[in-house]
Amino acid sequence: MVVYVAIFSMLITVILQLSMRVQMTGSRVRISNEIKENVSQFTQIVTALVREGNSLDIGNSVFDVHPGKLVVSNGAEIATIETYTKQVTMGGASVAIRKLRFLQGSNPPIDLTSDHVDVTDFRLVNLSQAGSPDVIQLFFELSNVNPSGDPSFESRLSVSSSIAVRAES
Amino acid sequence: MDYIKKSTKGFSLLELTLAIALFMIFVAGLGATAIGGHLTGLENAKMAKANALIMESWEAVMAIRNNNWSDLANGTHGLSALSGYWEFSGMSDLSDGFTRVITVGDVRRDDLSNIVSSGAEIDPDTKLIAFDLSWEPSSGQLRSLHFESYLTNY
Repeated sequence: MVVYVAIFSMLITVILQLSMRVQMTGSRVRISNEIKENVSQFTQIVTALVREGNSLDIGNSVFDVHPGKLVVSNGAEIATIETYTKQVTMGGASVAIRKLRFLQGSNPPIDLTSDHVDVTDFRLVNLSQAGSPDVIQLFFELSNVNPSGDPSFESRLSVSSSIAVRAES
Repeated sequence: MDYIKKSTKGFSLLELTLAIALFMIFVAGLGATAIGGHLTGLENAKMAKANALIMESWEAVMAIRNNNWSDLANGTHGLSALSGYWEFSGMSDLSDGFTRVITVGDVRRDDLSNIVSSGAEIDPDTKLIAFDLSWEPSSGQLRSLHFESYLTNY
């Protein structure tokens, strides 16, 4: 009888541990997917914005430091991609996160990243050459908001890319 | 004649062994699924970075083209932005764990301007650009991504 109880206890323990591990893996995959979706969305929007622009507004853009700022001139319209901080509540705690947003003309700003991710790096490098259409290289890193600091739920994705305006400056 | 009455209650050793074996198979399957899901997540993240690097490479080659068409020399190249602009540098470059190789090649066109693989004349205003990225995955064999496109001087 004692042997059966011991075996049964072991099996229950293994099942519980496994269930927790599967659940944790599911959560980590969801977090990872959230970050990837944000990276993909941001990359597409910033690429379209720069490609459709006439030139970069070098004077009003912020290069080489985090947080950077990108201002693109498209005829009469000025479009800006920048970061701002927002206070969000997560797990009962209030956390300050940095988000990317898009501004065009006098329209209200549009958030480019969700409240579940924090922009931990956003740097732009101006690689333009005189006589050629403007080119930028951008580095950005998105991390999941993890107020508890639990390393099991730590996830970040850093990406570098480059975009050239298509129209002659 | 007395018979010894055997108890038929409880588990036999064989039944117990079989039950434990089946359970272990079940546990191993679930465990493999959990680990596989985690590795797939990591690999998807690397694939997202690889796609961004391919786009970076394409835009960099376009920037080189925009600056000076003759800089698109045939051969294999790496990329560098250390001079403050995109330029070819070496035969490959490393970026965040990825090895990048860009190959520039001639394009031939027939009398009707159709691109052909051999013969005909080399079109001096068109290049075939191939991008190859390779990286060490979280597990398994070396992963790679290949993309190629034509680039014209007009």
